[in-house]
Amino acid sequence: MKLSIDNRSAETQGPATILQVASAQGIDIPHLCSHPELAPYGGCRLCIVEVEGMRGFPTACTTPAAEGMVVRTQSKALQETRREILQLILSEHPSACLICAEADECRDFQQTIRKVSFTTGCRGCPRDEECELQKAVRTVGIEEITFPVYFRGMTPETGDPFFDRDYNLCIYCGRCVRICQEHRKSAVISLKKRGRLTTIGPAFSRSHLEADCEFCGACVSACPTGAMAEKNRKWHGSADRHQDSLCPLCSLNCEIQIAIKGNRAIGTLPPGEPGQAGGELCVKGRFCLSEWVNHPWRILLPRMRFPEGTGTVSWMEAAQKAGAMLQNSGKGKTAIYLSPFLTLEEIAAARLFFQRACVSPHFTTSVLDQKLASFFALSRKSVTVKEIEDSDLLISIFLNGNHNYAPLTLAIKRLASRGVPYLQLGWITDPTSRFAELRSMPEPGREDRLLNDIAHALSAGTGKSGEGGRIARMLKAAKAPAIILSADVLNLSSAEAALAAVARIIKRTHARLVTVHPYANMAGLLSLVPMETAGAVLRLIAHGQIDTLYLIGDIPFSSRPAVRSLICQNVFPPTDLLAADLVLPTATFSEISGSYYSPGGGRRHFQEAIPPPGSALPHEQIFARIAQAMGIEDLKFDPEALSRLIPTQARIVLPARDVAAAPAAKRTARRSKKGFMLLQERSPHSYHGVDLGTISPGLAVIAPVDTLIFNPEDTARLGIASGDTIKMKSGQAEKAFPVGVSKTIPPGLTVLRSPVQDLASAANPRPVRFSPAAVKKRKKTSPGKSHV
Amino acid sequence: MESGISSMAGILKEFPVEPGSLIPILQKSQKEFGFISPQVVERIAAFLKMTENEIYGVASFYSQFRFIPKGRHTITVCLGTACHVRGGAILLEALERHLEIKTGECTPDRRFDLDAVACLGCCALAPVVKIDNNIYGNMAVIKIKELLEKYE
Repeated sequence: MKLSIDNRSAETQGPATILQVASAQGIDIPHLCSHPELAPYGGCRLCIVEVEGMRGFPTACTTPAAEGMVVRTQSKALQETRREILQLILSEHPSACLICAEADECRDFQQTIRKVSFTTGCRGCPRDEECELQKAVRTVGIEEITFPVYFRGMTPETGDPFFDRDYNLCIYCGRCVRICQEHRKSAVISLKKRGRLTTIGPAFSRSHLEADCEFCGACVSACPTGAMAEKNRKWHGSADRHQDSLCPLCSLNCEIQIAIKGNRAIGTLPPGEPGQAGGELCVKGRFCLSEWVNHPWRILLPRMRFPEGTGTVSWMEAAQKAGAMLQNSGKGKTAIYLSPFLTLEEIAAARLFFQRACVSPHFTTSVLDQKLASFFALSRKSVTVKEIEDSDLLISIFLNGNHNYAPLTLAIKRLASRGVPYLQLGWITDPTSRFAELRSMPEPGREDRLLNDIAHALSAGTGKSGEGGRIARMLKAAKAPAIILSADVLNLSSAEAALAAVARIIKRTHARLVTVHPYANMAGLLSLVPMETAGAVLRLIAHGQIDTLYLIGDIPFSSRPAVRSLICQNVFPPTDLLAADLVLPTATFSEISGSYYSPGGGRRHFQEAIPPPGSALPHEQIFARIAQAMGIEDLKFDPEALSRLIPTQARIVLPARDVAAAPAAKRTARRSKKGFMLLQERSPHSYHGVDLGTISPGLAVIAPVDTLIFNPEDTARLGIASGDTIKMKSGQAEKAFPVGVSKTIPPGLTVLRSPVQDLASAANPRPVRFSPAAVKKRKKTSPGKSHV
Repeated sequence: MESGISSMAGILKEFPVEPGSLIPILQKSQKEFGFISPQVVERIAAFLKMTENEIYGVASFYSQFRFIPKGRHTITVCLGTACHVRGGAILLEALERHLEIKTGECTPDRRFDLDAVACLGCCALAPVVKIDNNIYGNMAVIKIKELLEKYE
């Protein structure tokens, strides 16, 4: 349709609002409450326009464009009214700097800065120069505020992790509330009370933490003012540029953009207009990545262990030492641990290098066991999250979407709120649970039973009764069902039986499968390198058959195993107990270019954003230096040559079955009324063998590790509270854990999440039992409490 | 609250699961329990498949819903024109200080709750304080302590 805006003809295909058509034409209508990801709201009234034949001043953001419309956006009457409206907004917002005659000079020379306080001006605001209100004032043109100025005097809220809130700066445009409800479907915050007493926040006077906020940061991005500010980049000012990249923290590899100031990554944002787009990131992609990149613990120089202690050395010395270690290692006596977070290029370079530098090396990664191999056998069929958006039935199996897998949980929430039935199988309450038509809590220790029932009912016909029969009937009736399987299933003792049952269900229904796991590029490792299971390599180490251990972005040991030499190549230093002979600093995701295999199996590339700190080098360059020191002159790792070694589609090859592995833990069929089921989990929040909670303190608050987490009903019954400690016995060993409380855990269950390092303890190569039932038999939680 | 929760189920039974049911449910719950407790909000949230935060947002918009229990006695201070002129606001402030609560709150021992109202319709007696259904005219700050002692 065609219309005229400010005497310019504008055209639009399909339905659009006047504001959308105008912005597409480059005509700037001032607006504050309108947001590209949200439905029209018409709250701030700044975008008023004149439309011929329409009474009054309609708002451009809510008025649909129509054929032949004649719109004026800049008439004198409009400007007058806008000025009045903006003055009303500013009368409750610190605005001295906005109308100060010396504002321009002050920005450069700060001569007036001592005269304004945080409560009246802009110079102390974290969003100074990025604020949409400042922009609006500049476009509309305000010289004075004729209304009495009112300061609300509310205490800034700084108690929650990741972001601070100062509602004295809030203009009540409702963008944060709407993005939380409409876009993220979380509804953690609401506009409370009304009029002058309006506040924003969760129900009653709960904190965001108590209200189970996902801390996705969409509200922070959507805020047009400085009312919400990221703790990490609060005083960094505006970014110089933004570089598109991929989040390296889980198998979904979300698109991100890295905000850069000088040579520093000051933050990560979802794609789209920076400082506006709410996006689909989880807390890790939104807040934890920049903490990782900028952390003061990063290794900056190569370090070597001498008899008298550790000291920094030059790259030349380090490369010679590493080369000597590899050369002195006998045939089949080198073990290389590769991180599942490495890029395809890094993996290809590692394979090329080690196959030249040593004779028949063993490759593994600490999380690769038989269960994970079975999971990846099934994962080969996985489709992307986008591909399930036309499904008419969703079933999630042991999905724990708390602080994880945000694009997937969002897709589930969106589909379910459109009326697609969603069934959740598993114990943990996550952001999708509220949308579930049916929540099924399988019996702990026999989690595969329900899945087997479904598979059985699917083949036996429709007559089966019970929950399994009911789900089978729904699956049969659905035209395009989708099954969502998360790696959380691997925490169960019956994981392999459960995975086999899922495979049978998929075969019988042709349901599409989406798998998610926290090991970003495991598909790349399994496609490019002949991997062995971690158990097989651990046994070699235990039997003294490994001379040199080379850990690349993987720290599977908490103390030094019995090997002659140990090299650790990582972003963060390993614990002193590991007593690494050589520690080589590497660049991390923001400092390299590379690619990952995406969930659909295709290759996705990203570019470097900033240079690495100190003397840290990308993995390929470290390999090249060691190769040179060893006299292998032709290994240069040219990016193009490396890229040619990598197929465009993942071809997952599973490791040989680890026949010698200890049998899986026995199940117990029944749960007693008195005891608690213990679910031991491998923390999904790790990166290159490092527990992300140690790097990002906020994450340790929202997803604590080494803590026994109970349902509030249980803690009330036992008379314990968050912060108490509980002793847990396992055979002879006894360990005390702090107590945590969360509504996400069902009554009767307690969850213990361990950071990655401890689980694959080399000194103790017996299988780690994840089964709640199996553990219950051996370990008893004693309700006797002792305060820390 | 145990019996409260079971009668909550009775209230919810009468309504269809749709957003439009929210305000009637809130009204009925308040009539039943005297105020909207966090437990009530939790039950309504589970029933309507909304979050507690959305429900609190709606409920707190309306002055008819209260989130703290009523006291055994309700003190209402008139702030109408006549009472205002004769020091109604000072009376309210004195009561707030005496009871150590703010307007709209309830004392920790649940003895009194305090409210302000625009006019009680007996302006000739200004300033007026109402306790439960008894009107006390020509009130003064020095009479407050003695007056409150009558109520247990």
